[in-house]
Amino acid sequence: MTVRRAGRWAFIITAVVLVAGLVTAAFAMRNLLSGKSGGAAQIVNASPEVVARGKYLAEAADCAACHTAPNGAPFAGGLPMATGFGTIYATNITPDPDDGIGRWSAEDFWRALHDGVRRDGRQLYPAMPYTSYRGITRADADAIYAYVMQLRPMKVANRKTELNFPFSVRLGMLGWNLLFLHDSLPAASAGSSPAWQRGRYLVNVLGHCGECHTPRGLVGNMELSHALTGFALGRVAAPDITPAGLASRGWTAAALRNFLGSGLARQGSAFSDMHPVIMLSTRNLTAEDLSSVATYLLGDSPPPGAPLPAIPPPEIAAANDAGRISYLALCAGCHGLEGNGVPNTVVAMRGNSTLRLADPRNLIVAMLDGIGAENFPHRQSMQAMPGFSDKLSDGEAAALANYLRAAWGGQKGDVTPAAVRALRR
Amino acid sequence: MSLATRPLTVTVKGRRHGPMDVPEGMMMIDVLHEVLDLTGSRLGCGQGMCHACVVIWDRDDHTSEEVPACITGAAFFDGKRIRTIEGIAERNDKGEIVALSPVQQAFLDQFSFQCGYCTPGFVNAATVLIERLRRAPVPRGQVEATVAAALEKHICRCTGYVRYYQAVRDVILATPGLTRDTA
Amino acid sequence: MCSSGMKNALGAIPHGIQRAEAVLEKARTHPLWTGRAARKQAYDAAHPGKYYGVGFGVIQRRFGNGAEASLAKVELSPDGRITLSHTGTEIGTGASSGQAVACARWLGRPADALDMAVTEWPDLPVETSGDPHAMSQAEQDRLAGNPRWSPAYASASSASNSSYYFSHTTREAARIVFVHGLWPAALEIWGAQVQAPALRPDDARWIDGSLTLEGREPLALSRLAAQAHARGLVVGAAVHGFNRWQWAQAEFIVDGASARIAADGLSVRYGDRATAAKQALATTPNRYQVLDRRSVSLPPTVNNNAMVGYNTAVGTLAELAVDAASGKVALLTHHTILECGDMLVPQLVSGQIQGGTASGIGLALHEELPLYEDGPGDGTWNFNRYRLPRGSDVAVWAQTADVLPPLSDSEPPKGMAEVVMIPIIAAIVNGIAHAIDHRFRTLPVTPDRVLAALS
Repeated sequence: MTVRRAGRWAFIITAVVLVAGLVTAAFAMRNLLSGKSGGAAQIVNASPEVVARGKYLAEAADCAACHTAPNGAPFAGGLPMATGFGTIYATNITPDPDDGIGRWSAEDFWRALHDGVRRDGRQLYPAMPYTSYRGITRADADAIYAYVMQLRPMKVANRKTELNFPFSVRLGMLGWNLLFLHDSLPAASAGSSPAWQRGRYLVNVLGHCGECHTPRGLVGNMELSHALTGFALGRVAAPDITPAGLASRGWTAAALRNFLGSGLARQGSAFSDMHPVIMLSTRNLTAEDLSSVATYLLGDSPPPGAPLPAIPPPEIAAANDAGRISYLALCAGCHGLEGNGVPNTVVAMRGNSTLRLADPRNLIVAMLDGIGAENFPHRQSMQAMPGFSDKLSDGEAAALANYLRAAWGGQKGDVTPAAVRALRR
Repeated sequence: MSLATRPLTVTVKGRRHGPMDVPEGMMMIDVLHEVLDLTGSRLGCGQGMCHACVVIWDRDDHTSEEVPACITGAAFFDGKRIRTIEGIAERNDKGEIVALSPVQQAFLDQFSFQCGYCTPGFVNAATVLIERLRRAPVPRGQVEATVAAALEKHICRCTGYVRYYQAVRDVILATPGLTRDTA
Repeated sequence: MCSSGMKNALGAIPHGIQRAEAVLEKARTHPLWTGRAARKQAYDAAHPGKYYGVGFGVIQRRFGNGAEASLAKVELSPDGRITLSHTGTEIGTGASSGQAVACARWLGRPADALDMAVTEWPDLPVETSGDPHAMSQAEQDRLAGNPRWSPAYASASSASNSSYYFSHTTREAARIVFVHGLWPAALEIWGAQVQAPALRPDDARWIDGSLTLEGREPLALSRLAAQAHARGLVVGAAVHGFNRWQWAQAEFIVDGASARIAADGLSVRYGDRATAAKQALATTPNRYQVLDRRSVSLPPTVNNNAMVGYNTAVGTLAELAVDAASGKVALLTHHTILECGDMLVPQLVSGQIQGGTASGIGLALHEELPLYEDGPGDGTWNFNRYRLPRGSDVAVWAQTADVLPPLSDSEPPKGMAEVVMIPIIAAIVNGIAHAIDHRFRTLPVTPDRVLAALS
């Protein structure tokens, strides 16, 4: 490259960076300048109908999952979220004037949900999923505001976010938003019916399902070209919930409605991070809304659910004898000699969605860690599954996983001892 | 229709049983009751929740843990060493009890059990706990919390737990080497 | 409140002193109660989203079913070993310990050997017929003419009935051995037969297992038993007792002496060196003489009507905190105040309080068995859905209890089993009302129900 050309490129790049910097600074100044501090505590007079609608929407949006900490006061924040960039603490959104959002107007609330900007003008981190809530209607945001503002105020101070530099610089979110904040998220299925539209709103916006189920890039952005194809944000991966993914594991619309409404289906029980989603959010959806969610996830023309794997033929047992013996030794006591589980107590292996995942991660994690006892709606409850990390070597666990996947998952027996070892804590 | 069997060899309180042919899907509680005539381990819920059935698995690294016999297959125990409630008291060559373990004696002294159904599980749990504390003592101020954590999974319907917990706490506090002073 | 001497709701006057007032007074002055407002203010301020409450419940509850019966046999060996046989069954309540201890009042120490759940009584045949709850007075009078007949044979065992009802027959049997065996043996050893009419068995005292009277030489039980056997005195007694809110009484001639006892059946065994004439009277397999009652006074059938009852009073204070986010109710501590007469074995009473309160906590907060299709009738419910209280649910380290001293050492032990399960349920519901100003009327108070009440 000639010196003149290099110089020209240098000039162009510098110019672009300068302009981007100026634009960013302009946005930043605009936000910060319009940011408020102090001010009167808001008094919100909303009708009971609006408050009730706001409560329903808050449940659909699952605000409590982050804004109510375990053993914490309702909506008073404090939940730590360990991200790859440090720890972010959810905030107090009760109407306390000093520790919560008691001075926020409906407009302030809207800006937080829609733009990811706080009342004081500072950026929110996308741990608060404004990247999904962006699509919320103004009326819905106002209803949620009305509901939240009549909660009991809690005097619980917010904890400072503990992010590593440079992520601790909130200003950086402006650039991030420019690249990754979109007005709407792409559809993960094909459809146009009213139920499908409603389902898209419930899933992409309120339910913000993509925030867990969509893979993320290096700077934590959702990879929208792979919407809902699954991602391991935490130890247990959120699986593929595209129509093809769901169908491959035998999910039908009815099963999805049961699962989201009660946490239990023939395909298994909700566990790990999905359990609170059921308990705090989806179990409160109306039957019609549950149906819309199922319609969106499977599309207006749902692919046929893959049939249950046949009863494991003797060849599978013979090829996986070590794993089969481990099954009899450690699993059959609860999951049944035939893999049928125990009604209302233990999930079946036959038809279990986790066994039918191509990625063995969740199965291995469940085998190593176990799954805690959990309550479900309608006085249902699943007993605890113990962890077997101290009772299975890497080779034994791999053999057992392969037996389970071959016998009941229709999957290849390709789990290696190294894969198990990589997942041990 | 025939039941597939597998050979089982298991050592119970130092005594080796087997190899014996046992149906491959048989749970250990049934082997204890039906094959080895060791009926001290109780079958309660049959689902691994009440812990009346736990036996002590003695591992090669000299640690021990409670294993629920009602949901763990006999196949798991092949080649392993366990202790059941029958093996906790000290016996002479004729099999007569010559001394109860400190936990058993404490349960008697403190009226810790009533109907006695859950008691083998509590004895085994306390025994495993005390052996663990011998390896890793806890501060005296943490003994009550340690006891509660170790026994929480065991269900009792008669006693309300208090005298069980107090007896185990008192054994721990009275036995040298199980606690330390500093936090 | 039903006080002593007052009629109950059915128009009858319960027996004995009603001590609910004493329980209430203790609760009223307990720091959990007196300090509850201040503690709530402090706790709620320090724990945003959690709400503190204290509640109290009390019950005065009848024990027994109005047709309690049992057989008890007490026998002394020549070296003073006490053997007790009883129809009562040990179901884990410690009835065997209690009945062994009950022998100490008249024999100086607990029984050495016990036979519980005895169903065959060749040494004291008793006959029964009809329904003791429903028969007419005329019918009972007619049947009572048979010296073997009693309105009921033997009660099933529960925790409530052993301390009072079973102890009664145990003690009657032991008392007969004392009055007709050990007492005359003692008088002989002391050389005090001449003064016998002026000296009474009730004046004697057992001190450290030896009998003494007005400063005379203490006599060990083994020595008295040896004397009784050598002199052919009464060394064993089997009694049958029946209670319909009063004890059946009957008159017998025991070894030549008239005796009116609170039992309706009696047989006695004489010492090994009794005279041939006496031995000839002992016709049962274990050498007992079955005595025919000379007269009997059975409790009137009218007692069935008004449930006069014996009552035990219990009160419980519960201190709790309601979590508004989860709906869970955490029991911080509880304190139970019980009056149960004279305790036979205090550790058993304490253990029953602990177990009973745990059951009450389960019913108040955790255990639910829905009716119809969704419930356990479908055969699939286990402890994952039917939630039993665990150690962490019962304030296992913090709970306390206070048993009021008996009014005198002659007060009998009262039944106190399921009764301790009840007031804590009310105390918890009242405590929740104090905490969140909502009174629940359906149990259990589950987290979902709390959340619904709070929203």
